[in-house]
Amino acid sequence: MAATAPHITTEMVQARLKGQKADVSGAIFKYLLWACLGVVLISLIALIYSVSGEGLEKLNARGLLNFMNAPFSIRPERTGVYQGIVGTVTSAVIVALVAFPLGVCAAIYLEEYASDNWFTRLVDVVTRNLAGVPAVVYGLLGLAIFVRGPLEGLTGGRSVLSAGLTLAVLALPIVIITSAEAIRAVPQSLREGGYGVGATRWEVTRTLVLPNALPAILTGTILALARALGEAAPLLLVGAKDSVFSGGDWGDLRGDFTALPSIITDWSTRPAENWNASTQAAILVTLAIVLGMNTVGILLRNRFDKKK
Amino acid sequence: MTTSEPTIVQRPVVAEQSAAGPANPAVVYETNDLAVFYGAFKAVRDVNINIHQHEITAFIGPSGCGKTTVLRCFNRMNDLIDIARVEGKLLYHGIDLYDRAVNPVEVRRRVGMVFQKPNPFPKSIYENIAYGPRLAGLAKKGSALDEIVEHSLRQAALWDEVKDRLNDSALGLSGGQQQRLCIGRALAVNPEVVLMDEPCSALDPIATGRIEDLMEEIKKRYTIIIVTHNMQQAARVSDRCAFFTTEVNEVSDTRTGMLVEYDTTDKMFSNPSDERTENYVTGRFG
Amino acid sequence: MVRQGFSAELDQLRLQVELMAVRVDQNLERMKEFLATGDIEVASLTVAADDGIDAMNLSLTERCHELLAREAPVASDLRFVMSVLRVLGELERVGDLALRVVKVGGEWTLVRSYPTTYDILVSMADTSVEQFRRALSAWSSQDLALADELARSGAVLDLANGQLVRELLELEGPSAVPAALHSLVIGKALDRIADHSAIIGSRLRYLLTGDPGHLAAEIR
Repeated sequence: MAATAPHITTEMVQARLKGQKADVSGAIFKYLLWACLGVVLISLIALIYSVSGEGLEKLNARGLLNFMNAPFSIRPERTGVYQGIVGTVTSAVIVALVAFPLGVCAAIYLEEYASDNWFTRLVDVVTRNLAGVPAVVYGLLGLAIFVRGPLEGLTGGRSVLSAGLTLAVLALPIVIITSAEAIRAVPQSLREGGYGVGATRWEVTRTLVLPNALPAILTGTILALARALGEAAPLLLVGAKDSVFSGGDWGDLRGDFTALPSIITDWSTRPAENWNASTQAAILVTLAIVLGMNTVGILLRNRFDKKK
Repeated sequence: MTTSEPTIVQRPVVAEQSAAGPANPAVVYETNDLAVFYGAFKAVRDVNINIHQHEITAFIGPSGCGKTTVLRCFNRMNDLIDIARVEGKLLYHGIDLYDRAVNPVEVRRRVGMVFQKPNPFPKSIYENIAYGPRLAGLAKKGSALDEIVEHSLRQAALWDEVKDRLNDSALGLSGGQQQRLCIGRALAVNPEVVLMDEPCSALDPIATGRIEDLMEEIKKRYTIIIVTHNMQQAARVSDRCAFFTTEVNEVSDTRTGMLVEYDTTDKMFSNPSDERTENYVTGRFG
Repeated sequence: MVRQGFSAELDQLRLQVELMAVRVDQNLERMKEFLATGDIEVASLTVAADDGIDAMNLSLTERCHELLAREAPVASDLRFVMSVLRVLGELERVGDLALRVVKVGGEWTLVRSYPTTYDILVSMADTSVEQFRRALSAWSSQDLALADELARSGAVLDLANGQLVRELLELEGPSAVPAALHSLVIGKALDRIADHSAIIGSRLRYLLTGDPGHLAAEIR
């Protein structure tokens, strides 16, 4: 405390407060971020635009319901995405019913019950790696286990059940990781409050941790679901039909099936002047369905978020 | 404070019978050379202390001296930390609390805890209080539960302020009210002992005063152990005081907490026996 | 070490109390001189100096109150501040007692005219001032042994006091009564000076040990 402080005048203070030069690097960074956001939005808009031109026309001409109710046909003017919708929606339900409980329970075990040892750390590493594995590998897995392997009798081979289960396995690591993160984010003080009044570990988890983590868990599940439904490669390997077939009705879990990505893939290879519009229409329908599912998920999440 | 010869163990000054002290009531907790380890690190050693019924006992001492660690032993909260390990004996009404046969959940129903930062559940005020009794099977719903909630809130000196808005979220209360809610929540399961870990450190003086009055009121029915950094609070509120300090181990460059002196509060603040206690309460050394 | 400002204030306070005691001692010296010579000048100097002692008492008492309010002292700090308040009171009393002696004023010749009782008074003055000097020395060194000795020596002038009263009862002559009365006043004042010095020792002993037994002994 030896140096004397400089004499501070009002002019000095004003000069410092007002006269600082602008934060150039900060401004540049901000504009860069805007640019990134712009690129993303423009891409999205361009995508939607590119598919909506002829697609909307086609839907208008055929009528949306007609298009959605008609099965796969050789003739472009009569073809529809009915079987695809059945396949995709059924897979989505299977994924939700299988991956969500399994994933959340696994996450609960890893975060709340398991002690921190080499085994749990190994599981954590493996799960994270699995989340990054290309979808086609899951397709092979599905082929090996659900379609041709030990579970063939249960699933009926190339069926929507096999597809759903395969996609569930694909989605599982994502659900586990995001649920684990959500549970980890629950403040320890909340748990301690529960333990402090004599709650058991399961009671604390059930009544305090899970309700608190639920919004984030749901977000993770939505993400996982969206990813799973969009993958075409596993569907290909598991045997989604890419030509006309009979069947593919609601409730037919063990018979022939197809799904929207497969349909789109197939139609896009057919002669463009006849099939382009249909392909685009199918893409639009797919987008709408995925968007719809996402919206449901988000609404659910918001409801639980408010309750917090 | 450094000791140049770490092998010399200074026995803490423990005076149970002071000429001017209260008559010796029943002992609730008794510890014998209690020590707590986090992995290989010895956090606190050789704690020998008797907690008496219907008294407020304060743990004071500088940061890191193990007072919270010892407190959390009394309701087995240290179990939540994987690497925590307890050595020595901790007897609760003569029962070894860390015996394998003892159920920690039952322990925590008998020994409640209030934390430094108020941590009400993100539920309504009613649900916060009802949470414990429901799980403990004291009452499931209806008027029996309502009674418990009202009784707890009255004991916590909060009833008049919230009786018209029991269904409002607990997170809407002020800090002082939230802490009183947490106290009510702890009392709702009808414990014998209430452990308080710096309950007023996040509160303003008025809220602090209310909680101190509340402690004075409820000590007739409960036994209270409070960890506090606030010397004046320890002096105002407690019947007995335990002073902990840290001891530096030069070899491993770690600090281990230990109990220095445990006596009636009057003695600790007018004429403590150990010089370290004197230095701490007068604020000369940490 | 923490609270250095506070520690420094406590040290300052102790020194200021010592300073006040020194001033009281100076007045006691003047009292002895007056008793020896009957010089009225000395008496008025004593009276004037006592104002300074009273002013010091006031300011130091206020400083104690301030410390209690602001610093919330406990343990030895609290015993110290409370003891300072007590010792200030004792010093102030001793100062007043010195005044009482010199306020005899012109009647000193009367007291002087009875050599037996006068000699006793002079010897009592020596003893009591010496007692006070012991108290001053004990306070400045904060020495427990001195304090203890002082605390036990409360009865040091009992003998002389008794002797004085016996002699005064024997006085004869026309001015015996006024002489006896003045002598008695002086004798009582000197006895009280010794008492208060012993109390200072007692209080210092309690301050240093914190033993409630010593507090009880002092109050008794």
